[in-house]
Amino acid sequence: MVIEKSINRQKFLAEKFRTFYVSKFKKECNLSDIEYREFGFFYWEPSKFVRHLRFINIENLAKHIISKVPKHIYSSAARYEVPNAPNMKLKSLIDCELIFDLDVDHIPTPCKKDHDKWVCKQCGTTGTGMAPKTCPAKKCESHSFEEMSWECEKCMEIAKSEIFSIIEEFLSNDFGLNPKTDLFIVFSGRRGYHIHIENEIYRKLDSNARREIVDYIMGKGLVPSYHGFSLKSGNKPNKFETGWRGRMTRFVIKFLKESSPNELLKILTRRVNIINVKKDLVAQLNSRNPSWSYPNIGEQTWVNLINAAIEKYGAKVDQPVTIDLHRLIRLPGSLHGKTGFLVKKMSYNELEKFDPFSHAQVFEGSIRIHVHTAPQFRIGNENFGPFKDQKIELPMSAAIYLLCKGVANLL
Amino acid sequence: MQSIFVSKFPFSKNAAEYLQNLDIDIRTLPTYFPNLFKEAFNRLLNLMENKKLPEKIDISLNSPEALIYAIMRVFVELINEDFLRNWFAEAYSKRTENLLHSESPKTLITLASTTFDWKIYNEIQIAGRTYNWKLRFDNFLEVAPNLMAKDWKLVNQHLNKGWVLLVREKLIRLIAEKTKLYILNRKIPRDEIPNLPESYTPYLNALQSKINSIKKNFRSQRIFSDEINKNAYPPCIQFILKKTEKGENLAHPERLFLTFFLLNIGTSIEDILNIFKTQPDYNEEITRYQVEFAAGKRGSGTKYTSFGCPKLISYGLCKKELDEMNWCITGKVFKKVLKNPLQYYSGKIFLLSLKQENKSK
Ligand code: SF4
Ligand SMILES: [Zn+2]
Ligand SMILES: [Zn+2]
Repeated sequence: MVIEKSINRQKFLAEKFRTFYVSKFKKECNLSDIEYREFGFFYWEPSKFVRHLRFINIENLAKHIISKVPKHIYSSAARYEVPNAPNMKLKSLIDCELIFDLDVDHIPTPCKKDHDKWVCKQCGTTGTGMAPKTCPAKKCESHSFEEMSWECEKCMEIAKSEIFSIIEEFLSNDFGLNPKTDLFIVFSGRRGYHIHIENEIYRKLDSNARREIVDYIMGKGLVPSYHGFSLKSGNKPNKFETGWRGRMTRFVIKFLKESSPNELLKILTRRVNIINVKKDLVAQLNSRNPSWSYPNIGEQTWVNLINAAIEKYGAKVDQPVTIDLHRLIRLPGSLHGKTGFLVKKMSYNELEKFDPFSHAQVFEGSIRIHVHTAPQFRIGNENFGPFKDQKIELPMSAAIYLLCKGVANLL
Repeated sequence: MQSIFVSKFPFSKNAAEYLQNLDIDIRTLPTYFPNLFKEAFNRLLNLMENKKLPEKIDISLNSPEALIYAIMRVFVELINEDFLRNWFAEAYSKRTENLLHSESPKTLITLASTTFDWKIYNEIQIAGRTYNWKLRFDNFLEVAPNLMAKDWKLVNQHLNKGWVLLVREKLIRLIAEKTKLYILNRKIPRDEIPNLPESYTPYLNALQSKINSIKKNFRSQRIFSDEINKNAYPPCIQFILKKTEKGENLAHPERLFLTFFLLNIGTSIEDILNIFKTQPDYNEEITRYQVEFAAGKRGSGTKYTSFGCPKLISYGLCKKELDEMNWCITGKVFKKVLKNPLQYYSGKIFLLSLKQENKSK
């Protein structure tokens, strides 16, 4: 009975996905150089992943998608001479877009404890918020968890502002890219965004160079003394400067302002009065010529403060995605099999107004379904839920969302 | 036009153009320029002895440096041995670095922009901090990751609008490193080397036999006490060992990692020293000191543990994609999280010894 239901659900979803692919895929996809890309598909039935596929144009690609209706669709950021060859060497890489992948999964947003849950796969211990690295249960050293997460508006706003800060702070200011012409953005269909840089120079970078770039925007490996910070330095950084010199200073100011006294106490010595220090240091660092000195705060404490600020405010992108030249990433114009949301490509100008809960919704009509459990969520201008074991008529996009998440069934 | 520049930087595009205009047929070199030919031959022999170019090289206006370099390159191509090619490139890179310290900004710009197609500017000032140079970040990244040191990480540079701001010494170091890569990457395609006359043969034979004796020397000093161990090395270690076999220069973290790893699995100091003998800058005394230091025989006496995987990943030394066991990719060895290459090693030793046992049964 349960299995039957899930098969029915799958068939229904595949049919709905197909309708979308028939009418709108070609318009939404917009992928350049299709014939040089590798494609990968995750099929519903039998549930398996197939990669190393090649299509000579959008027609052929659309034909395959419409006939097979995969659950997830991926294409390579790279272009190859022989995209369908079975291994990387034979594929013969031409070049590869530079990608940054930012996913709420990797950001400790404050609201996660309200909507995300995890279960240890080994011992069954549960918790809310982000899964820990190691299971907290006694004697269970498991590192793998089943995570249940929700697409939350607050989280999506945080992700978007992170993307803006990566583009403006780093890519535009430091790297000199023009956000309007050198890059585009893709909503991942779930909880994140990808930045694709198509600029020729970036496409040619090898994976070592990409590692350096992603470390740069994360602030990984930054040594303050190389940016002029040491107590003896005659050329200390100030917040008005370009590059990491200025950013490092601004991050420390922000950290001092936003951290609780307890957080600050962990870094600063007990000999100082936190409230005063906070005020004094913020005032000092806001000046043109900060002395970076304070009674009872030694060089190492400063360095710890700088590192903590970078850890907190450095970009939270998924590093391997940027470094790996052979990654497959979600194809723009496809649907995310775990939400039914559109993987939407957009320009920098469109990002500001983009609302995943409206602009990535593609289904029409409505349907009555059985919802087991769901928190409140919004699709378009309407709020739904929370639901608990309820039969209800929902707009198609909302219903498909719950069906994809596996928290509802067809009647 | 012949110029001092060409003699100083005989690998440069300017030098290549100059040679092209001379229109010399390399087949006639031994006949027309027997002295240059011998000089090139001797330099290579020396290079194999002590990995160095002569101390004094004539860089006057009429110096034949460009021709000597061209002949050396043909020899290196014909012999086609990785470690010779590496020593050759390394030697010219060192020489370039030494020369550049006393060159004008204009020379630096000429070399970097014409030969390497780098975008580079001199004399700039940013917000009170004077750097004399700026270089495009993508040019910087062609070289800096190879240097594998914290002060060469992009995150520790002042980057603004795509330009890395640099002081002169750092720029010179980058140009020197790029020189090495440039020479290494400019192999002459085999079919572009014409059939050479017999006059080449004795020289080639002499070089070849020198090569053979060096190789025999490497091999006879058995690096690996037994073959099982060698097969058990994790991909990151195998990758570095391959580099040493080719005579490629190792960056400092690579040396440290290799040394610590080998010490930890019980390799003797002598065996480790042998591995480093192919290094272009090998110095028995210094290397011995360093290895013994790491082994805890000198200095503080503390033994260091091998680098862990996260650290290796951050240095770009992790080669998990080359792993055939699927341990590195999944990050697990027999259900345990893989944190250190030593774990990989002992896991594999365990498997290999099982196989051995099965065979003997
Ligand atoms: S995962 Fe660890 S053992 Fe494997 S290659 Fe990387 S660093 Fe070496
Ligand atoms: Zn557990
Ligand atoms: Zn949230």
